[in-house]
Amino acid sequence: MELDLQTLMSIIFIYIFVENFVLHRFLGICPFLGVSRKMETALGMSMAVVFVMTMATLVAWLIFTYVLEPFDLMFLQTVAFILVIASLVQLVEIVMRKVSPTLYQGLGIFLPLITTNCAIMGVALLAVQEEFAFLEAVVFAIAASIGFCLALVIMAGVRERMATADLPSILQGPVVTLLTAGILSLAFMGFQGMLTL
Amino acid sequence: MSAWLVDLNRGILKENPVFKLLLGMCPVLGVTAFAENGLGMGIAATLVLICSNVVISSLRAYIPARVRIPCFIVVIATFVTLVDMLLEAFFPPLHDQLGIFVPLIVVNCMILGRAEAFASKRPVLRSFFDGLGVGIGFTFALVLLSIVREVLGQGTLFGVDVTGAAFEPMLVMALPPGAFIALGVLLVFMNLAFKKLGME
Amino acid sequence: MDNMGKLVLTLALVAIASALLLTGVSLWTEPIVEENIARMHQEVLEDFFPEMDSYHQKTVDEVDYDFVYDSEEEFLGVLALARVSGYAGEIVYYLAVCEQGTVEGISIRDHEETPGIGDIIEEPEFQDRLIGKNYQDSLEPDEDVDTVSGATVSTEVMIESVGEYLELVSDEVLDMGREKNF
Repeated sequence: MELDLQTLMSIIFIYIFVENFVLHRFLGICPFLGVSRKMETALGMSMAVVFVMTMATLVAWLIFTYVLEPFDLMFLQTVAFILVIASLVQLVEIVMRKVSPTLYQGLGIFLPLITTNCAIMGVALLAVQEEFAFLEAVVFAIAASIGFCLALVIMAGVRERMATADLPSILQGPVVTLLTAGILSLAFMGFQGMLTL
Repeated sequence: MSAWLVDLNRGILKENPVFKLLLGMCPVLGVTAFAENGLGMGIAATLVLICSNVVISSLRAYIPARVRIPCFIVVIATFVTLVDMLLEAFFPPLHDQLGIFVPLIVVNCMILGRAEAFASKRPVLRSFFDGLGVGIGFTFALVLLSIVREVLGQGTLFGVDVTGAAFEPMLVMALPPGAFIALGVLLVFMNLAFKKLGME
Repeated sequence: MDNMGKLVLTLALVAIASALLLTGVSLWTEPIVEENIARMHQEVLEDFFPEMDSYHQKTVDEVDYDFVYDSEEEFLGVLALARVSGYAGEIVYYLAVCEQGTVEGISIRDHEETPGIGDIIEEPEFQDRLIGKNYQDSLEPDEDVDTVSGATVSTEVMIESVGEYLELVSDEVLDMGREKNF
């Protein structure tokens, strides 16, 4: 893939809208369902995800390109990547606790949760699978995480409104969230075919 | 009821990872367009779950608490990679269909959750049955959802046409929005069923 | 220090055991995977070139070709591995072109087109429209070859792609095959 501005802009548009990681690729569903009840928490989780996803993809890409590939160890990909993510999250936690205790308090429980966020692992795996160059991979990760935020924030906005609605108990909670997600996904399908790499 | 039977049953209904605990949702939505894929994923995840539960349980006396999470992760990731490699070699079409969701089994919170909550504290045999039970529950959910999505969305079941020419498939069921909607609706029925069975 | 050492040691041991196990299984399965790919490739070749006896692989202008010969070393045609960006993702397919530059067959290897709509590119219903087309024919979507309504993008993309690859195959590559000029 040629490295040029057009490719990068395409990547940004495609992975935020056309192939939104939550609504089209089904990655990051657990936090999407679990953390979208309030806008505050949604935003907090989003920030953490953008940061961890970008860093994780970056490091994973480097490890794949300079360690796994040259030594023909590609099958160690899964183990290596998940360890990178787990360590990164630990690191972020430690650093954040020292540098900004208030932020740490706010993001508190989300950080360990991010380790099992399949979106992070998924993005790292895809960045390598799609054979992106380094800069493309970074932009890809940022775009993917923004897409995740977008879906999360929209869902939080909707759910906050719905909290005041009078829903029968059988529909509350995950059910209405899933149905809403279905409608969101349908809406985002409108972007399909608009742009390809 | 003997302990192992309890362990086995718990994961299937009472603490079904998908319908009750809402864990492991990504593959549930991602691979259930076709019943074959749902079944394949369920079996793959169950294998990983059983193997990692057994290994972690066997090693539980030797793994210090402070490094237990990384150790669990390495064990789980190892079995996920093994299953991935075996699938690629012996079941290539299934491997292609499941794609990225096989390596993603490693972040399936259901597996790490079982390791942490159960296998690291219980004997091997019970851990085996716990893993088997949760795995069966997971597979059950996957297959149920994918049957709904395949029949409504394609008119087929496991690739066999079951609806005849007059039925115009609801294509949306095979696509992402359909996954969300189908699961939402299925969840309603499952909740009703649980209520009836007195298992809230 | 002793405690820290124990932590690191345990983790290291687990990691090493994992690496060894995975390496072992990988060494066992990698040849099997390669065999699978080779077998599929072989099947496609035999499908489109039943008189095939041998073939020679060569990459020309970044396209992978198999130059196919029968038992008398007569040039039968080429099998090209083609890629194009479809509606929903990349489409990878084999394009079999006979020695005279006519499409013998198409075999879709990978695609992500919409099941039930875009995947019509796998069906003879669509593929037959392209079989028999020669590299000198014009291949305008809807003018020369009809797209499928409802799957316009997927089919249009395929038609254009086959046209492009046919142009690439053209005289230069076919001559290479006839003269065994590798």
